[in-house]
Amino acid sequence: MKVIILGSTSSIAREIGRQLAQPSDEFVLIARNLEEAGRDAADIAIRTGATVKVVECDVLRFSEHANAVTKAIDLLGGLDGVLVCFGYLGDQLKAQTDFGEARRIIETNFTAAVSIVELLAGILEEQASGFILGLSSVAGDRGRQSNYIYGASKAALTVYLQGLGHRLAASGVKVKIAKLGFVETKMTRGLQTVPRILRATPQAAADGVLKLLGSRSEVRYVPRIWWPIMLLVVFLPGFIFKRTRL
Amino acid sequence: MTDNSNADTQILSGWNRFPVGKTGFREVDDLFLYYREDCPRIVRGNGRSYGDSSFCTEGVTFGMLPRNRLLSLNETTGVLRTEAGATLDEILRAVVPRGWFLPVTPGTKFATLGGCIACDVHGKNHHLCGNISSFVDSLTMLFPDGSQTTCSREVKPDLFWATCGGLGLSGMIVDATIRLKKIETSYIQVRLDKCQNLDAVMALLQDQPEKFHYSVAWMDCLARGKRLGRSILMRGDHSRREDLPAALRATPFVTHGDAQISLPFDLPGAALNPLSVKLFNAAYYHKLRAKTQYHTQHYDPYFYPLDGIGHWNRLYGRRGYLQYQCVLPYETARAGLAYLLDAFSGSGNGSFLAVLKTMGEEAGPLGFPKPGFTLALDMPASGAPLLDLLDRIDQEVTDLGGRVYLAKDSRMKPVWLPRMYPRLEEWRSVIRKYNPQSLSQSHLSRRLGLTA
Repeated sequence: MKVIILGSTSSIAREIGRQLAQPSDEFVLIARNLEEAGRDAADIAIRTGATVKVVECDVLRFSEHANAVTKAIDLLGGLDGVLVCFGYLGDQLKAQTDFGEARRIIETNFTAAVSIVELLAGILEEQASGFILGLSSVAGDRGRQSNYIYGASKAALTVYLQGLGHRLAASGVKVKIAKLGFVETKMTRGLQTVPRILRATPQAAADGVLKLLGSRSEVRYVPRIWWPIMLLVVFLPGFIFKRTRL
Repeated sequence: MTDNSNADTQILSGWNRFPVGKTGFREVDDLFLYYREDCPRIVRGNGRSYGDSSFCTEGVTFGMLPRNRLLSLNETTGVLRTEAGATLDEILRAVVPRGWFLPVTPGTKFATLGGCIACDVHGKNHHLCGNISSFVDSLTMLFPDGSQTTCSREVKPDLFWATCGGLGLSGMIVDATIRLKKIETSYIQVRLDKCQNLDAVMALLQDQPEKFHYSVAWMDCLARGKRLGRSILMRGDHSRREDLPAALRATPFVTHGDAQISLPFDLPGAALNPLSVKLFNAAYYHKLRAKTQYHTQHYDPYFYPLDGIGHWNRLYGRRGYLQYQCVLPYETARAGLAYLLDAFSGSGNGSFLAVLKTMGEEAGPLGFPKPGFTLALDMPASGAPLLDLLDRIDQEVTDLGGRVYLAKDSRMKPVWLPRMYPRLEEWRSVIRKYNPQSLSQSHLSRRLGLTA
């Protein structure tokens, strides 16, 4: 299998790479930090026997996307799947007063995804096979005061991938969305907002993502417990919701 | 207590859950987290040592598990470079299929490589191969002030030898380069011998020690009288291809799986008592029907018998347990071991896990092994009478020229340290040289006054 991992230095992406790769696979990791990506690539290759290469790309530099995609496809000599793993949590309070921060959240999580995934979608559509799997978030299910800018960007990503999935259905390309709850990663380090029992490890998150990949579903809450939780959250009447500190 | 508001406060301990301590805990996703604060700190791997060397109650404990990437493996020479948070379990899964094994391994594969080096662990082959440091080619170190350096036997050897066995007190091991051992199969040819008493097992352990690569004896430490020290000696060598039965020869490199069973809750404190342990020990000893037996065994149950039971430390209940491991020089070992066995079996402290090995040469200044016999025993952490007994035992061990393994220690008093570790001052001066602000501290280092 030939797979591109976008945002490979994410803690979850690293675990997905380790669990997904087989000795006959070829992976390309695309990330901003070439040195870190190189270490991740070496690690996946040693653990799994797959061939793993790296391409440097900053997702916020939209003009670089086409080049990065071409390079990656050249290195692989084909493409079977794409994992969209980059994201930026940002600082909600800062984003409320500093538009630069808000913009960074939105552009990393949504705009950059649209830019680079469209390029890859076109390639997969033409060959009429493959998959795209994106890491979205339960925060996109309902906007709440503690992270609505992040939540909005993830909601946008979710809808984008749903629509893309609709478009690509005709050609047999699968698009899947993992709605992740709280995962203990570099990105969430230091956050105390969620009780410990609800925090997932990157390994558990990767496990759920792989289950999604192997199933027929389009969407999956990872871990599964978030499905009933978000059902409650989404249907909570406004006058009650507004009294919460969520 | 420093203000480290982003660190998560946790209650941590060693694997034996005694003692426990409250500490600020932070995972080292990025190295800069380690040196950006100005507080006492210690580095923690997977917390599989016993005692209190892996947490720091006066500051922050830095968790190394995220730093677990395997960086390079030379498939011709078996030289592996890896981040220090990689567990032996992860390393084995990667290298066994390629025909490599760990040159020295402790009794659990869930320890991190960095942790193993910090304790300078020994295995069942110490009498022939020494500690894991014998196979470490170099270390990359990070200090609380942010500086990094490499060290090895040739480059900054003082730092290298202070780090191997230094219990994390010289700084953070970022990554390590080790030389793996070539294997033909993932099995061990095992020879079991029943030994009726202490003299029998000591004699057999010392009989042609180079004949078997691995040797360890399980001892029934509750047996008394003429059965004192009755044991099962388990010696082994890596199986060659032709040693394997035909059924296994097709796939010679089978790695281990995950633990199949797990203890879901703590057993009540009384579960392991002198009677139940005596019964277990008798059954285990007599399970071996013949005097000598040979068989082929996968490396996992041979080296890591307890890893197969998830959360096995729950056998001892919530109050936890202690492990006492000491080494006694050959000259005094017979008397010392008899004293130890007598003291433990007489005190009503039931231990089903008593292990005897022989040891070879010393390594670094704070390294534990020295030529002689080492005995390790687990016992429930039952309270003050046991602690008093262990204090008396410390005295006897010191008087006999032996010492206690600090990586297993939960309760020793500092008074014995200088005689047990005569190179302590030498070690301290190296620590001071590389850690002038003395920011590396653990609960153990405080208790023993190690860096004082």
